[in-house]
Order: sequence, then C-alpha cells, then structure tokens
Amino acid sequence: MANSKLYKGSLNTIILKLLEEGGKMYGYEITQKVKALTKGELHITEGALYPALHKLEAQGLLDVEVAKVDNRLRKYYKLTEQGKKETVNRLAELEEFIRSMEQLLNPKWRIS
Amino acid sequence: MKLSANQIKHIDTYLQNSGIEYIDVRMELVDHVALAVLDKMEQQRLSFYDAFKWYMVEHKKDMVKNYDRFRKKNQLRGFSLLFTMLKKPFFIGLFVLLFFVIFNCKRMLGVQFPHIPVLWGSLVGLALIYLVFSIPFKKNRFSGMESLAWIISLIHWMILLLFNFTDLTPGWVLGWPIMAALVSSSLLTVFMVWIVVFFQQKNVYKTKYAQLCQ
Repeated sequence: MANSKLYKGSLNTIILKLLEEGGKMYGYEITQKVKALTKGELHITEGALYPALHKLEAQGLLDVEVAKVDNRLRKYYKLTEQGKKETVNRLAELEEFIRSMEQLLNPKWRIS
Repeated sequence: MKLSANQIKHIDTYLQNSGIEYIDVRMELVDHVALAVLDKMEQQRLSFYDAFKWYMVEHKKDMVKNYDRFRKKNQLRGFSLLFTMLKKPFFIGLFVLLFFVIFNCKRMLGVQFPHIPVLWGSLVGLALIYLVFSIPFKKNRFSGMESLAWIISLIHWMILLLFNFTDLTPGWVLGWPIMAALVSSSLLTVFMVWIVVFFQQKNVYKTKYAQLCQ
C-alpha cells in the first residue's frame, strides 16, 4: 500500500466489504476498485493484497473459483457463509473504531 | 485489446524463472501482471515488451520478496492442517487404541512393532511423495500439497532415525516397552492423519484448480 500503515490494519475488512458488494471479484479488480473509490488516494499493491486474500481463504472466509479468461486463468474470490457473517462483525468493529477515533481527535467538551 | 497466448506464456515463464514456483500462486500473478501491462499499453500506447519491462522494474522486487515470505509461511500451513485433524476425537481414540495394542503386544508377545513404522515410513511415504508430485497434478507444484510433502519427508526422516536398529537408535525407543509403544503409536497416528489430510487437500485442489490438473 502506497500510503500509510494506518490502512494496513483495515485491509482485510476493506476486502470483505468489497466482496460483499461486488459478489465475486479477482485480485486486480479489487486494487482498481479501491483506487477508484478513493480517487487514487489508496493504492493496494499485489504484495499486500494477495497475502491478505490467501489468509482470508485459509480462514474459511473466502471461497475461490477459477475461470479461463483471454488465454489465461483467473481466480475469483467470493464470500463464504462464514465470511458473510464475519464481514458484518468486522464492519461493526471498524465503525466503532472510527467513532472512537473521532471522539479522541475531535472531543466535544461539555461541562456537566 | 487482449494479450496473445505467447505474451501470457512469456509472463508465466518470466515469473517461474524469478522463483515463483507454485502454480496456484503464479497463475494469479500472471493474470494480475497481464491486466496491469494491458492498462499501461492502453494508457501510454506502449508495446507489450515496454509495458512489461516497466511493470517488472517497478514491482518485481516486491513481488519476489512477498512470494518468499508466503513460501516460508506455507511450510507451517501443513502443520496447522495436521493439528486440526489430530484434535478430532476419532484420531485421539485411534492413538489410544494403537498405544494399548502395541504396548500389550510388545510386553506380552515380544512383537517388535517398530518394524511396522519403518515399513510404512519407507514404502508408503515414498509412494505418496511420488503421488504428490506426479500423478494428480501433472508435475505442477501446488502450495498446499507441497507443505504436506515437506512434512512427510520430515516424518519419514524421524522414523528412519528412531527405528533404524543401528547404534544410532536411542536406547529408550526400543528398550522401554512403554516408550516404544508411545513413539510407535504417535508416529502411526500422525502418519494416518497425514494420509487423510493429503487426500482431503488433493480433492480440494483438484476441484478448485481443475483446469490446471487436466
């Protein structure tokens, strides 16, 4: 990833979220989707993406499908049932984290 | 625009020569590189070779480094699969049963049971290693299968070391019936677990990567 270690901890959740929306996706498609959604701000390298995808697959959260496309084989990833449940949990966890960070960075002081 | 079969072959051979041996990983990287090269060719009107050269100058180091990291982690993956299977009640029960059978046979009948693991380790082990590399996958190297092959060679080595019946054999292995039974039953159980995991993985790979195994 080109910018910052801050994104690294959320990479798996980003992947799960994209697969939840996109159904089945392949590696390059995920990198391009992230680039487009963040207007080029976030660039996921293959060095960061594929280890994350393989780990999620080994955890049983992703299933793979191989198809022949334009003279080569393409590996598609999709969420398993367990992966769908885990996505909900991880998104809730990430939202909670963002809320906490907002409170830490922009505290609204009140005298009670 | 799409890349020709020769251009795809060029990418595949280049990655293989760069040390990316596992076909399940390389196949995915070939697709990734092909798409990145195509984008570059379209955006900057470059030839295939110029776009490919640009990609490799930019990304090869990172790609090879990450593959090496993956390869090291992959060796542990086989152990994780074996431990998960070993924890199942059936194999715990099998271990206990083997222990009592071997212990009692050795104690009461004087049967030299360590001979069995030696034969198993030597013959079945070698036959399975052969299967891993040749018959099912047309000599393609798959990461998951290779992690298991590495473990079987380790088990095989341990069996030969522990039961070679020479001066190198530790005295506690053959001398004490309880230790001999414990070592024999442990190795036999691990061996059987390995066979089950091997066939499970083989089916997984043959289903997921059917097109690479044809």
